[in-house]
Amino acid sequence: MTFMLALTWASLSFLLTYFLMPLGIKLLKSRGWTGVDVHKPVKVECAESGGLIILLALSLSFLLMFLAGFLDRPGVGACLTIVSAGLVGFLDDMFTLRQRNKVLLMMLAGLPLALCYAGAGSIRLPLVGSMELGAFYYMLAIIMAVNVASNLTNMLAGFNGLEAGFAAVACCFLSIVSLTRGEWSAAFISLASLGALLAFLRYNWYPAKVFPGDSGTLMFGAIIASAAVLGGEEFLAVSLMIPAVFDFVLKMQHGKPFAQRRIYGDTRVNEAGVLSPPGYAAFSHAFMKVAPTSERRLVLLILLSEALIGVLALIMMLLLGGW
Amino acid sequence: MSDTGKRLQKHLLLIIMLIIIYLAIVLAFLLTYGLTKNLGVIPCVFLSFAAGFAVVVLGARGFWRLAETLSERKAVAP
Repeated sequence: MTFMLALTWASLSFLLTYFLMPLGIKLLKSRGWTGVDVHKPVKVECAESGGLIILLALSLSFLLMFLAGFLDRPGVGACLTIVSAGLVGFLDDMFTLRQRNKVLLMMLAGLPLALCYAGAGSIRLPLVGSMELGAFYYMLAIIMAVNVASNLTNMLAGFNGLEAGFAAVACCFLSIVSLTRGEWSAAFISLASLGALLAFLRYNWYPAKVFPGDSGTLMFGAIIASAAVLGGEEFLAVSLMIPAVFDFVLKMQHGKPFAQRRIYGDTRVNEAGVLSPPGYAAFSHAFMKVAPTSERRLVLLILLSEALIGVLALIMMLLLGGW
Repeated sequence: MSDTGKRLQKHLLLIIMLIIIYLAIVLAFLLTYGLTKNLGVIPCVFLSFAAGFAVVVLGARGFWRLAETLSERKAVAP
């Protein structure tokens, strides 16, 4: 019965996003919120900030879940954190916030979820079992987790379907574990998010009609972090974020990590749609470097990497404990 | 082997490298946890995460190095 309810929430957010998105794309284009799809042989303009429509659809789903009494206190905190992260992203899309301000605002966004755990907190790890961190460090860890996950998903971006696909794969794994553990709040939230992300992918997959913008990418990270904390699936979430962590580490190894695009320019694309990486290290550039790659293939390879790591993490949780 | 096969092989090599590094990260974390768990929760957690992150940094370099090597081979091949 509860499993069917979880599927109902997923379907609801899927349908809301699916039917609101065409209207949203028209509205965003009419307001001039567009961006150039730079990884195509023929440059086309796409609607930007499509994350706003997901934010709207998810807010409605979360509100209905709350009104129907399906969310406990941490669940409400997680929903508030996800919505706040989307709003911070929206502010970033509108006013292009400075990195420092974005980090501060994302810390505030993580606060509702952290405050819901103002008691004691522990994380579950394979082999180790339950690791008691204590209330203060656990709250701090939650705020950091939301911040880090949001910024990592924001960095591993720029290709059609990558950001939403990355979050959808993560939500898929988190949902499986939440459902089998009976962590219903986490299952409802991750499945509702999965529904919205799959509907968004219909419009964001190659060739994209809409980009998620920062309102999407920051929210996607917050969804992964919140669902993981809520379901006690921190190990799985950290594992799924490994491609994004690699991307961050590779970019930071450069002398001027935040000026790389200004110095080296964007990824180049030829008439056949084959991508060539600019001259700095990044996770996606490694795949372009080793062999000619199209945008669609690149995104599929990154999602495959994430999914394989997710499967390995699940196997470790099953064999070594921590499920 | 066809061009598509060779491309797929190179991309799969990268993914396998990523998975090996991932396993090394988990191993480093768990080993450090096992060795330092008598120090108390906070130092132990801090050291375990530090060990994991150190492997991430080294692993990311290795990953990029492999990408460069595979790319050089492509340039040398006729």
